[in-house]
Amino acid sequence: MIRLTIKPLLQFLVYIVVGIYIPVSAQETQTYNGPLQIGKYNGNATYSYKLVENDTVLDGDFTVLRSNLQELLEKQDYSFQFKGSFVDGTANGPWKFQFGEFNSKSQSEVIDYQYRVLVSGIQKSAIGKIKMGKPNGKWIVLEEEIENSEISKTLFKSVISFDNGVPQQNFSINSENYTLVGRFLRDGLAHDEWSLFPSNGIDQFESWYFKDGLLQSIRVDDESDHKTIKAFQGYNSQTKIINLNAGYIKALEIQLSQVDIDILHHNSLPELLKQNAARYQEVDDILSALGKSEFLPEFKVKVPYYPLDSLEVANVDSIVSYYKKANELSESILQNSQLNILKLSDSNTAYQYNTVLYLKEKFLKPIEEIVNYDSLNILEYTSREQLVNHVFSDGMPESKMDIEIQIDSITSSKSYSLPSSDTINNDNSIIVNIEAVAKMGYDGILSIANEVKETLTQEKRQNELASLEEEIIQKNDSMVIFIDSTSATIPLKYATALKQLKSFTNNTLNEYSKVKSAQNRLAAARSTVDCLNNLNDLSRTVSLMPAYQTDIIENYTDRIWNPFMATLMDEDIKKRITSTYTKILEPYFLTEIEQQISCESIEDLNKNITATYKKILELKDQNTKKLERKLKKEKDPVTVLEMLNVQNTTKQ
Amino acid sequence: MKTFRTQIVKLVFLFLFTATFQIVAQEKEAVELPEYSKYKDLGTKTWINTYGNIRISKRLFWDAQTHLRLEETEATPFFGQVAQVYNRHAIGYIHSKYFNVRLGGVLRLNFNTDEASTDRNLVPEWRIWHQYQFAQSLASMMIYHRIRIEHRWTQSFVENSDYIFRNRWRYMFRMKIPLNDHKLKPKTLYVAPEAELIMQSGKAVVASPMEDLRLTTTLGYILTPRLTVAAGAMYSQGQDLKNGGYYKQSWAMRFHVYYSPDFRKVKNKLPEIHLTD
Repeated sequence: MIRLTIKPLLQFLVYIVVGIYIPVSAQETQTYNGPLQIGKYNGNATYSYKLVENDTVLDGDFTVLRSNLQELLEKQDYSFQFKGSFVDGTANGPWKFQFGEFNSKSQSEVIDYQYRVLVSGIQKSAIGKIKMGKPNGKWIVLEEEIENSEISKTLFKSVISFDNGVPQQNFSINSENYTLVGRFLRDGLAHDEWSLFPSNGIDQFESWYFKDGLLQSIRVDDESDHKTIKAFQGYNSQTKIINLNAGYIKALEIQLSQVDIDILHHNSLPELLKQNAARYQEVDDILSALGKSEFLPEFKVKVPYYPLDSLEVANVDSIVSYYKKANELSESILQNSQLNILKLSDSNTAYQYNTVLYLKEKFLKPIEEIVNYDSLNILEYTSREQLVNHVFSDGMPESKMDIEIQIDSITSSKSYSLPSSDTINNDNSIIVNIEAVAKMGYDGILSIANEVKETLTQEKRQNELASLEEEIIQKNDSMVIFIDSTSATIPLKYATALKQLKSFTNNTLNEYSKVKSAQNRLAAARSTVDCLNNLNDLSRTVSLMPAYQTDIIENYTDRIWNPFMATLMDEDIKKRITSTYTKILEPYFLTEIEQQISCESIEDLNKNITATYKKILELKDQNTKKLERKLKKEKDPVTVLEMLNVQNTTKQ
Repeated sequence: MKTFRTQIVKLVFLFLFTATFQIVAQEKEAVELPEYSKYKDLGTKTWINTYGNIRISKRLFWDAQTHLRLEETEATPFFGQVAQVYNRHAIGYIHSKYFNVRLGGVLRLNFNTDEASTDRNLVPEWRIWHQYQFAQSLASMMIYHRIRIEHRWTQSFVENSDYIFRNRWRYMFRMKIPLNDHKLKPKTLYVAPEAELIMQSGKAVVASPMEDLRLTTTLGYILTPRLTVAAGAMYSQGQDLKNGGYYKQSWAMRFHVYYSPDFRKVKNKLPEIHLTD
């Protein structure tokens, strides 16, 4: 009995074990050795991986490298080597990244029975430890210039310690021009003194003093003097932690006077941090391509925080939209070439133009700055008063202004009042007042744009008329030249038609010259140009009609074999069709030209001539017995054209 | 001696016998060549010929000729009376612009023009014929060489007479020279001198191998590529079949119509109609 129960139990166990073993074996790590593309890097890789739901997940050691001696010797080679390890698809453990761009002057030396090729170029590297995708411990990022296989210059070097991705303790960043040394708190906030030295030792030396991430002051030393610039010192209200980046520096500058801003190195501190971040970004790109990664270091600082309420956010949005519309309008006016020319002679245009310039300077420019702050998301890091003082340093603009006009070196002045109903009211909030300025600027530019439009349309009409008339003259000339030169070379009946076209052109021009009113004149000029275009086309077609005729006759001539003469002879085939063309249609077209022509009919007539010619040629290879029978009885050209399916619209 | 006499008698008898037979045989042939060749009186004839050349495919055509030949008699001078009606047909093959062949049959109806004859009035004559024609152009004119071979079965007007078989060997040289143009094309008048030698052979032909020599000059006019008319005069002479010493001779007026219709559908005509040019 016991045996009987054990046997199925054993079977069950075997199934379970096998069932577990199969998925486990699927998870077994495998090794890959071969080519691999990571972003722009294409090299030879060796790595361990496992398959999870048909996805390759890196797990274990990882190496990818590339170098090509042939390319190096011939021109230039880029080499790289990334070495480290992964755990479940996330970088973990010691890592080394190395990128180089080298060239060789084909110099080599033999050392220890090995040929060594001396290379020159740039080598970049990043070495440190990664803990589950985040930098951990000390990371050294280097960029070095290599000459004949020796380091000749350090172009960039940053040494930063991390704790699980958060920068810690002291750090240093060196570039060619500056060295930045500083300290972080455990939570990654800037703390204490950050010093920025110039590499040449001559330029000024800056010390940025942070307290718990909040910048207190900046001390600027140069050879003879020192100055302390007050930053957020004494601020003890609401703050926010943000990254130390260009936006932070902008927010800082809103606090500072223009004099102080000018004293500071132009953004060299954030520039260094940016360079550093770019290098970490390169590493992050590689790691992200292979698995999960959060490699970017974040240098945190605190800023004063003045949050915008929902109404103010709406105000800011409308400021941005007024600015965009106003800016677009002002650009279209200021860039308009016609206005630019016109303003030199026309005082009203000059007045309009200069008003736009003035509005742009006084209204749009300060608003543009606010729009920039908004796009950097730093509007909330400054008090409204500081914002207004910084942006409108000369005070808010007035709605009345004097516009200077200069024509022929005579300067005059004319006042301008904004048509806007909005005004600046000191009882309103600052944001509302800024919005009013934006609206006023927009209203002013819009009203001028409308005035200018009127000026431009009139100007445009004048110009169009002038160019149309020029075209009329040119078309007429070309037609006369063409007819005069062609008439001599073609048979008389065609030449007569051409002469008729010439005299018709003359009449058309006479008609046009009789039109007096400006509005009608433009329409008349347009239709005269069209008419002349069609006349030109028609005269060209008429000049081709002799060729059409020979062409048709040639096409309707067949070479046939005469057995009695043993020669080939020309035979006119389908004579009914050719004679329809030569005896009915062609004379009809020529008569139409000589007797019936009008500007309205020319185009259709021209089309009919060409279409008939083409149709006649087509008929040669078609079965036309029925058509030939019908043509035998028909003598009316219009009916014949209908029979040929050539749309005859001249008579309609 | 007796033996000698007997021999002589036998010899005389044999001689007489053979001589008699010889006389009988000579009576049947009744041919004695004259000392000098003798020309018969000139006869006149009128030939009215139509030549049809009907295209049936890219290279094949149907040659359809009908000739009406008149011959002068005592009662009908000059124009004469109907002597022969020809029906000559063949299928031709155009090898190239310059060479073609044809093969066919002829039914000729021969009318008895001898007013004194009491024999049959009409007997048929059958022929099989084949022809090889070469053409070449020389300056503005065309030159033709025509070889025509005929196998003919004829019978005389005598009641119940047997057919006799003969072969005819004909070679003709002809030129066509345009008169009012530089080449032969519609609306062109041309002159065509020609010479044809007709030889014959067969059991019945003993001493008259030269049946006919025809010297003709024709004036033609090409109306269209498909229609030409021509008229001319021909002098001919040839040995009499019965006696090679006698030569017939005649003058003939000849009238020709040449037509070459093409009833094929347009799509079949093009572009094959151009042959290989």
